[in-house]
Amino acid sequence: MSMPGEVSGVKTEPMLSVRELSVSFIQYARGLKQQLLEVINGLSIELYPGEVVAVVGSSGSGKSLLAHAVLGILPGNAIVSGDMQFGGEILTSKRQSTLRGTEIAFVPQSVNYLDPLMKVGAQVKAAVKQGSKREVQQKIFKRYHLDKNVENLYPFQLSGGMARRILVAGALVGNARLVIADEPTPGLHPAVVKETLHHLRELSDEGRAVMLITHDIKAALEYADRIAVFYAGTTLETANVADFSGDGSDLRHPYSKALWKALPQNDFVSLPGFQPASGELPQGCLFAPRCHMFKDLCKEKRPKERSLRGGKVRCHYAT
Amino acid sequence: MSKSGISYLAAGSKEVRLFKGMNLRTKTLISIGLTVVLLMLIIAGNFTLSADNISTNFEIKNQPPSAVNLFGTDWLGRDMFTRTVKGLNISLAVGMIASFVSAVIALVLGISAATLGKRVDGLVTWLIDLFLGVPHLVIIILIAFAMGGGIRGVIVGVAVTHWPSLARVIRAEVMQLRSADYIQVAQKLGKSRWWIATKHLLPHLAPQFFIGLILLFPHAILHEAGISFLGFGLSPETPAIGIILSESMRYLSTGMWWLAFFPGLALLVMVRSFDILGSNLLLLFDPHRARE
Amino acid sequence: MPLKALEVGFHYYNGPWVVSNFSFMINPGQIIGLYGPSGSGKSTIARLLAGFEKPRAGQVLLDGKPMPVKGNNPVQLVLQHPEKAVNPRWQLEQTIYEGWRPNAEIMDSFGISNKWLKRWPNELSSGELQRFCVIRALGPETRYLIADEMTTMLDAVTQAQIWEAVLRIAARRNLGLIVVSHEMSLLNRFCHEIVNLDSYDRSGLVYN
Repeated sequence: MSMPGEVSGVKTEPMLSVRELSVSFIQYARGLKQQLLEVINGLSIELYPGEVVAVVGSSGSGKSLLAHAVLGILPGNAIVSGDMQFGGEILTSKRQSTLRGTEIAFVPQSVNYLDPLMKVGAQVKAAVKQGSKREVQQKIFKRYHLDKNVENLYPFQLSGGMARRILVAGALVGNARLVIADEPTPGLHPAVVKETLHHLRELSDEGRAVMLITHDIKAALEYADRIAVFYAGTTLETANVADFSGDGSDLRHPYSKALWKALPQNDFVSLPGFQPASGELPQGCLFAPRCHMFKDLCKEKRPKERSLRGGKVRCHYAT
Repeated sequence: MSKSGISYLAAGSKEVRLFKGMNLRTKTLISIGLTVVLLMLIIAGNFTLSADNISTNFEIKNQPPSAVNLFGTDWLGRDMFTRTVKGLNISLAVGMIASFVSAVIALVLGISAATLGKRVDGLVTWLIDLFLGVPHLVIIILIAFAMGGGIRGVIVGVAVTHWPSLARVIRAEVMQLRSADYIQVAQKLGKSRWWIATKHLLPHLAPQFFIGLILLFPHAILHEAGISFLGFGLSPETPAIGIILSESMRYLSTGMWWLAFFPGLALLVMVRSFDILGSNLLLLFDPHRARE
Repeated sequence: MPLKALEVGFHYYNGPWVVSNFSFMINPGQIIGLYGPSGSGKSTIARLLAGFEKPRAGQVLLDGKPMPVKGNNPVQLVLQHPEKAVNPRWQLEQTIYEGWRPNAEIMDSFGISNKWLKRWPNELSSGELQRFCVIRALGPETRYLIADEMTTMLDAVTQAQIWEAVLRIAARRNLGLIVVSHEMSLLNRFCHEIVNLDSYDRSGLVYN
């Protein structure tokens, strides 16, 4: 497998680069006092044209918020800092709103993103940017096993599974250079799951970049090039897919190894304890309280991200 | 933060400049406090202002606003400020009784529609559509007329016309709650219907009910004033705002602008206060916005 | 006291049959997996067995008798989405005590932090909430636990942690477990027997 960023031997620029991203929410502590709650801290990730990067991690680790930050659709009480670039240029909130739905496509997790007052066929057609809108829409409906008469239905007339397929179809039918899919497949029939993931792979093979946010490592392994492992609001490791194999010794971070070993098809062993909540993050390494390699330094200093064996890791002692 | 970095309040944050620098919860509490003070003042005025101010006194008739008669006097020499405050109190009382009755109707019908089966639901939904489809004023006039005018007719008229929108909200809320996973789990944990109603349902419905009640107020008050103005409501001797306004109309052309201006403005301010109170409470109770 | 489903069928009001002619039996201490892709009706079967829905045909029997309608049900169901299964206006302490008062050992085995008890549901992740839902269902009167895609939305580490605790308690109390999942590798891990719903004839059913 070639290194990220190398397409036919030529180093290309990343399509999306996120550096040291932090997201905080202003919240009420008690009464009228407000406090800042940091939910994403020091997060870095890069996506190159032609690759699928899977973002995996436990619920509450900030996966969806990363997507929302890139798209600029965080709620009003969010404060964002850090560096985000798309196509080499800084992503300002103005650029985000012009890129959203054109250059950057989003498959949201919630079916509430469909317009309740518009027929779904028209919604998908509106997303088509090239060719005959009608033809393209009909083609993608067929691809996602949606009957012809579905185009004349309103979102409330759809089953959950159908609504999800419409969301996927609507997002993937356009001409976006970057596709961000936030848990696109839960609750779908296996054939549709396969079709969706296959379609994402196809889009990246055409030179686009795809960010696949999922809790399903198995799907990530099958369709992604690289996997970013999220924990408590940051990436602990970015690894190549091939590193997730055997006993997991090619992986760099102890948490990634634990995640791999915990799969039912592997050892099905867990870790004691729990992911620290935002607002109660340890001062040092975020994983230190559950780590078997834990040393004093881990308690004092939060490790910076460093390159290791063709991937990235955030650990003082990983080798 | 690096120079090239971005830092901004994400999309969707529209700040009201009036209370710059305060958070939503503080702003909400302040506006609630202000409206409550205003309403207390109106009620206190009713008891402190002497009834002598509104007895006929031809020596001071047709006076424009002054330090003694803040809102001026009318063609019989009655103090318009006192009349306005007493009028507002009547409106307040009528509005309170009517909207409370209305809210209770909404609660009962909403809950029955959601829990007593398809037939009751059909009937209630039909009633809701019926009452929403016909202009309120027409029904209120009919009822007030049928009951021979007077305060009773107005209250009944306003009460039976204002429940549909709240009933619809409560019906939807109860329906949603009934099928909620955690309610079904509670049933299987052996909790009684009563227990589920008081511990699970009520805490969800109570804020909806109270906010609905407060938001009904301005409507009830305006409709009361409206039909009194048209002459179908309270009798001419009661100093209601609607009556004051309709009497004043005859004197407007003679240049006595204060007769209608101040009572009208006072009515507007009071109605708007309730509106602000209700919408602010709504914000405070909305779990999605309460955090901002 | 075995839990039995006899030729059970179900459809929603005016809808097509979602489950038809389904028979099943489980004894205390047994762990049976129900495998099927989404849309195969396995969630409906879970709800029927737990008494959340009444069968339109056939019957569900516990110890030879129809399921009790009132009182603490010996058959408890844990659902896929914990955030919907807890009252958003309750602190988690209240939620867990709605079922029973578990001791510290049980709380520990699920990796529950004491601080979480005073939290509101929107302050915890679904992995954390699901631990509360599982414990709530494991009261002293529970004989059968039905887990409907209980750990599908969770990461592998949390999944393994929850199952470790559940399996230990089930073994100690001789509970029957019905594990509903679309993931064969999970079912293979600890089920004594696996019922494959895909092999049932369900012609006429379409994609969900």
